[in-house]
Amino acid sequence: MSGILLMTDSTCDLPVEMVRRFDIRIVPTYVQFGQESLADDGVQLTRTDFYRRIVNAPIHPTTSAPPLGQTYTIMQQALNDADHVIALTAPAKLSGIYNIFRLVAEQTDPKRVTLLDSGMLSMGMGWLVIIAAEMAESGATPAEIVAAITALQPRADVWAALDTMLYLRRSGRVGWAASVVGNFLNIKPVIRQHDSVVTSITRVRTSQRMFNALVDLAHQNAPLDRLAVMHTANIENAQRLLAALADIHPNHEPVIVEVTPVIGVHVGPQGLGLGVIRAAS
Amino acid sequence: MVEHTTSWDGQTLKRLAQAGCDWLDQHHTLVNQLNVFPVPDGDTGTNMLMTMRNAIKEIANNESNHIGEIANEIAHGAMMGSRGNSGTILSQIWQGFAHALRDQSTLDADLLVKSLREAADTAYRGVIKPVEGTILTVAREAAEEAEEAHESTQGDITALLDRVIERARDALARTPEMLPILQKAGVVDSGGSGLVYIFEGMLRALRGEEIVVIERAVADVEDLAETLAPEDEEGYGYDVQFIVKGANLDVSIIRSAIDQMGWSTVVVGNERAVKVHVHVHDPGIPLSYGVSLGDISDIVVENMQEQFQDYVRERTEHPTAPHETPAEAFAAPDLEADDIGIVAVASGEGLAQVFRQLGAAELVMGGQTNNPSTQELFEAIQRVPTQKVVLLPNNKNIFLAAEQAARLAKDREVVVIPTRTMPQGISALLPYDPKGEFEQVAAAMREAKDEIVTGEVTTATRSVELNGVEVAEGQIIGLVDGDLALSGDDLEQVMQDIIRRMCTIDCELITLYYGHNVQEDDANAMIETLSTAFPDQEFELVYGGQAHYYYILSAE
Repeated sequence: MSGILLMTDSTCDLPVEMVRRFDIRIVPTYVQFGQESLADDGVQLTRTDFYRRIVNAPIHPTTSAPPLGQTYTIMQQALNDADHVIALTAPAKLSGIYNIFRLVAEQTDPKRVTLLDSGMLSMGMGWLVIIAAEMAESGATPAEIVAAITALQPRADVWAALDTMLYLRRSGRVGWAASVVGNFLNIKPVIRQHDSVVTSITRVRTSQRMFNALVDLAHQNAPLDRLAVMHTANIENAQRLLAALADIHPNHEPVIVEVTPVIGVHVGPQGLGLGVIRAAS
Repeated sequence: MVEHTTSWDGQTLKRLAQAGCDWLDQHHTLVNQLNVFPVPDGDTGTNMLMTMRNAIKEIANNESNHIGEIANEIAHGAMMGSRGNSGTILSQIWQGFAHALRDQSTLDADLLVKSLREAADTAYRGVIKPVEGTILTVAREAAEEAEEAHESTQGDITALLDRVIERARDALARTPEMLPILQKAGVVDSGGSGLVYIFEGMLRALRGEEIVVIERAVADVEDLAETLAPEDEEGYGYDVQFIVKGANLDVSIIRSAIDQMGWSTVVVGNERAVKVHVHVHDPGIPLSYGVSLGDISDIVVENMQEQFQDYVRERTEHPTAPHETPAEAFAAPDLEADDIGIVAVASGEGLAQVFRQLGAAELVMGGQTNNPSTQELFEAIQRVPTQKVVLLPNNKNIFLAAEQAARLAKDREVVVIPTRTMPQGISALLPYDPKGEFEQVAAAMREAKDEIVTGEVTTATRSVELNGVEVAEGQIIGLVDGDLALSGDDLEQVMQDIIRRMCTIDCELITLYYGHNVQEDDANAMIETLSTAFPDQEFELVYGGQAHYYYILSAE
């Protein structure tokens, strides 16, 4: 039995090697095409299949939080394997996942589970999970880890440039996007996800300007402790973006990840993003 | 046959739960259509159904008469299979219900009252911030009614459940009063309606009314969802008509309920049959309401989007009076007093829609040959609900009037950004953030207006020589950023030439706004030709609806 295990949900977007390296327990969230419900576990629905499929789907897919039962099973297993479980979830303001974890923690062993609303999505949350796992490995206590992660949250940021407004508008989770009238002109929103909310930074109309907006944001926020380039079916531009940020030199090795279908439903394909932890000032 | 039961055992509950699930199954698509809270993603009915199905699966082979055991299995199945917010809350309702029955072999009226109370209390604890006007309210009022009706129903569970369901329906009908987003969308709460369907299915089974489950392939369900879904936010809604047949129908109550859902309401009939006609954004709402009253038939659902497009086409072929405020369909954004609001001048209906999409609060119609007056611009500024206003004249002939209007509006801070063309105005609007800091937003907008090149293509109204370009009256001319740049006799050739002039540096996207004197088919053909001529550029075609100019172009 090891000391502390990290648990999170599949919106964290962590690369599989990192998940294995720290034995992070991930609860899959779900994508529903009509009555067909697919777990975001990388098996039932691969990213490649998903991004191909949403473009042609006759009905818009929706997402749902993991079932209580499955979350219970995974948390119980983690508690069998460790003294303490620290769980970070997607923001309670944007998703029901946090509440599911809360209900399950109450039914398992509340004293041995510490639940944190990460306030972040994708690699914004992913990096917080990794830092917590690194601390656990080097012998930090649950209280120390929680204090450190809470202190890190203001330094976590996600910026994304979406190829179209359509998916964000349809998803309904972002009030200002849902209230946009009509779709007469194709607009590419540049958005920020931070502290549980999604805000608009600007809007552009060409993919080069999407790219430039992210390059500018990264430079304005340098120096960085961690850097991830995220994309939705847009690997070539993701690689190009990482190359354009070569002068930033984050403290840790940067990664490129393809965004989970559960977030993909809300942002659509051909998107590009950055998930960072700013360096301590 | 109506069962006036005083006691249920495990197998009764199993039968009733199955009936509740089946009744929900029949109506889950309608429940999906109601889904606007917390997220309008239209899956509440599906999520609740999946939760119920899993609960039923758990007891499929359980022949126990012990109600506590059956309830516990249902609760377990609901928990393991719960999906989404509403599914989670439903599983908590079963959890509480089962907890109250845990050591009981049968249920009487007394226990039903207690278990409904515990179901509601557990549901409230299942969410972080309970919100009224949701499934929670329906569950709580059901429990309250059970407590209130306990004495008068004298142990008759069917009678008790009858009262409970009556109250649950009533609570559901009041959800829009409690939750503004429902009021705004003109619907009742979806999760609450799912719970009412489950209750109703149980009661129907008690009354011996058969529930036929319509077996449908998944594809059919998806088709139905497609048919029922509103066109999109730009949709103009649906014309819905049907006849509902039932007993003791109250025409005036139905009329006022239908009227809440949409507009152009006509409801006529008698207590046995009522004909309903209404225009709504979501046909699922009146249809679902109709189903709740009785059997519905003669259903007609027509898409008014298509009718609207015909209407627009007619209007643009016969242009109406100048400076008319654009159609009400382009709803204004929600702004608060300390936000930044936008007034934009638009020279066509299509362009007006684009400005609206980008967040313009007020539009003034006008352009090259019909400049709006200072008075019109001033009035538009006064109509904006914000203290800080950005005015986009979008034509250099309107600059002076705009400046004057800004000075006249003494009670507001008005900034005029000198946009010379429609595309400059559109580009300026891209970084607009209504909640931003005024000076920063204005600076970003001013910068953005110069990030595109504008082209305009029209017919020369007189012969002239200007900027070294010789033009004969009736020839086609091209302007780049407002200055005469070239002329020709062939529209296609002028279009190609002007794009070459516009794209002197890197240029990725060319947008064509076609005017009201250009047919959509011709515009599509033009795009095809240009795409072949300029394979490295992306083209986007948008209806501009402007007078005089065949095409307004932007390159970025």
